[in-house]
Amino acid sequence: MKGPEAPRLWAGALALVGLVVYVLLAWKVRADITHFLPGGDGDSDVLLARQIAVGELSRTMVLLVDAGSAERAVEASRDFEQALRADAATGPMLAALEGGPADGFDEAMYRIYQPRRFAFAATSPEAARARLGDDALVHAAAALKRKLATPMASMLSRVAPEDPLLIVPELFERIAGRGEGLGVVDGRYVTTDGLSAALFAVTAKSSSDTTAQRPFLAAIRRVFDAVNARAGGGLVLRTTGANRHAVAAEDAVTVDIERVSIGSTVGLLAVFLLLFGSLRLPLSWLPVLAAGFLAGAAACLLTFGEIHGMTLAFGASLIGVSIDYAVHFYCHQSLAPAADGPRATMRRVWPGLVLGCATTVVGFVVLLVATFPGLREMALFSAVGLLASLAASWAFLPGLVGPIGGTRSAAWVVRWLDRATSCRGRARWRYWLPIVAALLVTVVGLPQAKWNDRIANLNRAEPELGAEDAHVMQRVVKYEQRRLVVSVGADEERALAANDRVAEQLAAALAERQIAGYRSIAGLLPSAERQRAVDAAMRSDPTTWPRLSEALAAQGFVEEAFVPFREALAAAPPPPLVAADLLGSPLASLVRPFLLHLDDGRVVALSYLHGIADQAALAARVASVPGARLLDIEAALTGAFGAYRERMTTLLAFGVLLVVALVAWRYRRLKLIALAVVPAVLGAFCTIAVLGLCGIDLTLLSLVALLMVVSMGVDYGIFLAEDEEHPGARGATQLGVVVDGLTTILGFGLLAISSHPALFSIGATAGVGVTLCLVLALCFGSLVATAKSHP
Amino acid sequence: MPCSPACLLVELLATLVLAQDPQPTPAPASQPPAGTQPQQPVKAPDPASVPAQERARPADAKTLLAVFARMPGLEATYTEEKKLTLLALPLKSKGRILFLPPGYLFRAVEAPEPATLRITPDELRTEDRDGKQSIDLRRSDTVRVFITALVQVFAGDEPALQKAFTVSYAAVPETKNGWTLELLPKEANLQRMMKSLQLRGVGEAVTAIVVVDPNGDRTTTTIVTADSNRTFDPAEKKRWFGIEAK
Repeated sequence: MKGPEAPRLWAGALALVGLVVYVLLAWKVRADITHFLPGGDGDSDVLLARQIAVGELSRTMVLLVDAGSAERAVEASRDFEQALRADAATGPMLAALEGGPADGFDEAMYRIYQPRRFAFAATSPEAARARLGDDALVHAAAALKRKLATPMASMLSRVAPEDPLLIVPELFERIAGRGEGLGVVDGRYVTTDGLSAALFAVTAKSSSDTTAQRPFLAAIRRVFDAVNARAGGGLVLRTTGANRHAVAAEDAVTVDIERVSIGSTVGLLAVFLLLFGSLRLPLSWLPVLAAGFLAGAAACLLTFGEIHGMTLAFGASLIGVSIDYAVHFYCHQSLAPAADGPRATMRRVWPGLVLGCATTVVGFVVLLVATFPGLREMALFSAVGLLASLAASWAFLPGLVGPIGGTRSAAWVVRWLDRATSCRGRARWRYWLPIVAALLVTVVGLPQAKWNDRIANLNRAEPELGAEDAHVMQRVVKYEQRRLVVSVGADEERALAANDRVAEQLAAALAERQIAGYRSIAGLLPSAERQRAVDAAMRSDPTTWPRLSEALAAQGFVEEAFVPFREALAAAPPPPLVAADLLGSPLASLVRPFLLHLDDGRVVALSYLHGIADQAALAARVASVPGARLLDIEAALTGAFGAYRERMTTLLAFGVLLVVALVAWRYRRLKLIALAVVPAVLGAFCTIAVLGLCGIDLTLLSLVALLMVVSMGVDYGIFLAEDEEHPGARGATQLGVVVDGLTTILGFGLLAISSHPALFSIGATAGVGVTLCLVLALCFGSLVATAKSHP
Repeated sequence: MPCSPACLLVELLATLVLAQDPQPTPAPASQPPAGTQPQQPVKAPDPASVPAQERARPADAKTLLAVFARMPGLEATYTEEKKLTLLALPLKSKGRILFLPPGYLFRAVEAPEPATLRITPDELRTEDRDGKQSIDLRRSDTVRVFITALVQVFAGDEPALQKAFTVSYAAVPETKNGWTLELLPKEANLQRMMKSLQLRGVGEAVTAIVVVDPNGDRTTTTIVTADSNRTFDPAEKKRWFGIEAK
């Protein structure tokens, strides 16, 4: 490169290389929808919902192997587990894998609970004292004798000397009542129909870490295929897991990104071949596009450590925006070039480009204020990307443009635009027509607009994956993951204390059929305070043993056989059971799903539900326990989205005011300010109305897209307003605005055919909006231009 | 979500025993207890007019189990005596046993107080004055084998028995056609729940069932009357075995 532009080109090239290197080194894409969840704070449901959504629950997969018989299922399960542990791709990814009860489970259960049986004799001290009443002891002795007449006698007769009240068997029965659809055959989990084996895998990496999850999921299939082959075929693997949805979502987003990128690029090339007869121009824009994309990505990677797939899709669409600067410059350079060469032409259009970019960036900057990770990322990507594109336009375009001239097609378009926008007198009605129509549509359609803040609107449900989830869950785990009861405490003890009371409420709810079932840790791990109180109630009465021995004797029992119980009653109580005792034992998997440690040190005890018949009554019942509440994860997030949308609306209104201020500072004339701003604002409102009339719900991302609509609409107005100082370049400006609009519509139009709801929402809103802004800007521009000589 | 908590809980009941250290158990009595002499033993299905107890002694366990496997059903009355170390006196009861192949057994205790017990391939269900209780047998290998051992004998399910037990068959000396079939658990877990299960019989008929626990407790069930050609209509299947008509 030589000549006066060489230093700028070299500097720009070096900057691009630096960005490429950084982005390649730091590249990390994520696709989980939690990135687009509000953060939440304090004790909010949103915070809890987020924590649950990213906790162990979200990293757990159920692997269901349909084998046709229990025998085959057991063999396949054992082989599958061994193969998964041994495989180089799956083994390191497994934080836990259970195909059957852990080794030592039985012994641990007995070792932990038998010494503490008095603390588990009842769920409350009152209930413990009640079972030591005279009648209760007589009843217990008689019941023991009756139970000894059953086939279970051989087991009970071994337990009874230390536990004649059968406390531990009752504890186990209390827990056993919560069973899911699994049994144990030959030490493996098998569905109760005996046809399938189930394995539970917890991944070491987040379910949203698609970089790790994609090969992991593929490896699971590969390993299973080998297991199936060894079994002689006929095995079918069905799975659940949030990681599958994350990978599928990323695949869908990636496909859409490619489609948008390829489609918009091909469209641009076609437009420029038609108008300028050369591919050199679009190719020379590549540095501008690359600068925008790379700088936006680098800013996100630097700030957040990763970049979301949806932000990348958004960035691909940004091509249609950042290229506007180049288009505007080329139109001027080809149709109304400055006498001193391309750099002089750039200087002429530069104020308009800077103002257009500034108004757009201002719009995005206000989004940075929102505490919404996904939106902050999008805003940062867009703002930095646009600024980088603007800088790249200054650095690269004059040096790369070369000799340029319009084609006959371009000349025809310019002439047509000139005729169409130069009507005077009464013929100016045609400029008012679209404006009035837009106003009418806005008035009629705005009331039809409907906001929908449901989180489901941000992600695409994969029907096949959903059906597979439902199939597996129905056969293995019945409990809901959407609605659950949370008991929050400053520490584990306080959380468990609240959970004890929640369990009482859930038992009452079950009795009143407000729910069909629940799972709680309260039976296995009550608070230490509750354990001490129950234990004390059992040991404190010195008459317990004499009365019990009398009752046993009356039933024909040999008193001496129960000496171990008498001695245990008189001994000092063992320390209460705490979560660490269970977590450090083969029983850890019993506890982990029920306890959640928040970042601020608080602890949450979770209770799982199924068959909720009366949510309102249940919520009221649970809320009577301090620190506890029924958490509807989807409702919490939907409510948060609604709140954020309202806040964003305020921010965007503030952003529009900033844009007006910027434009006013530049032009200081009402009609030019109106030309720059009114088409964009009217276009945005009309877009809302059109979508409402079409029955398309508006989402939070629609609001983001509307911000883009306003920003780009203002750009068109600004470019036209700049003609006031350079009236000889009007044809070039109009051509530039039309090409800008077409290329942008092309980019967003492709997003609008995306099957991904979030991308569709952005694409449809922006596509309609930019089209309206383009038409309205040209009409307003024509009214302003023709008014100068109007009598 | 890991489901081990709920899946295992029936097994946990057995855990109480399994997790304890094995206790020394007294040697089983060398002589059968009093009152175990057969009156009308269980007969294998045979259209022949010869009473089951008068038929030839089966040659081996396989042959005996094959005889059982041919039964369409069984109804028998029994008396039972449980000698438990915890109790000063034996527990005595009497009642009725109904068996439907391949895996259903209903036991109605008539005295000293009414109670019922039903074993299906999936479940053990009891009902007495304390109420109803059920144990899902699918949730525990050990408990399932322990509870259904007798059912598997009646069903003549030799492979299942051979898998869990050492099966031995012997003629009773000094009798014309008396025999014993003894099942000794192979697995340590099962050994902690049951020392042995012994069936005594004459010809093709069972006369007594003796279960010995590891601690020496002994349960002897003596068959009083039996109909080994019993069939059940749909209403009976529903009433006693919980089988819904298709």
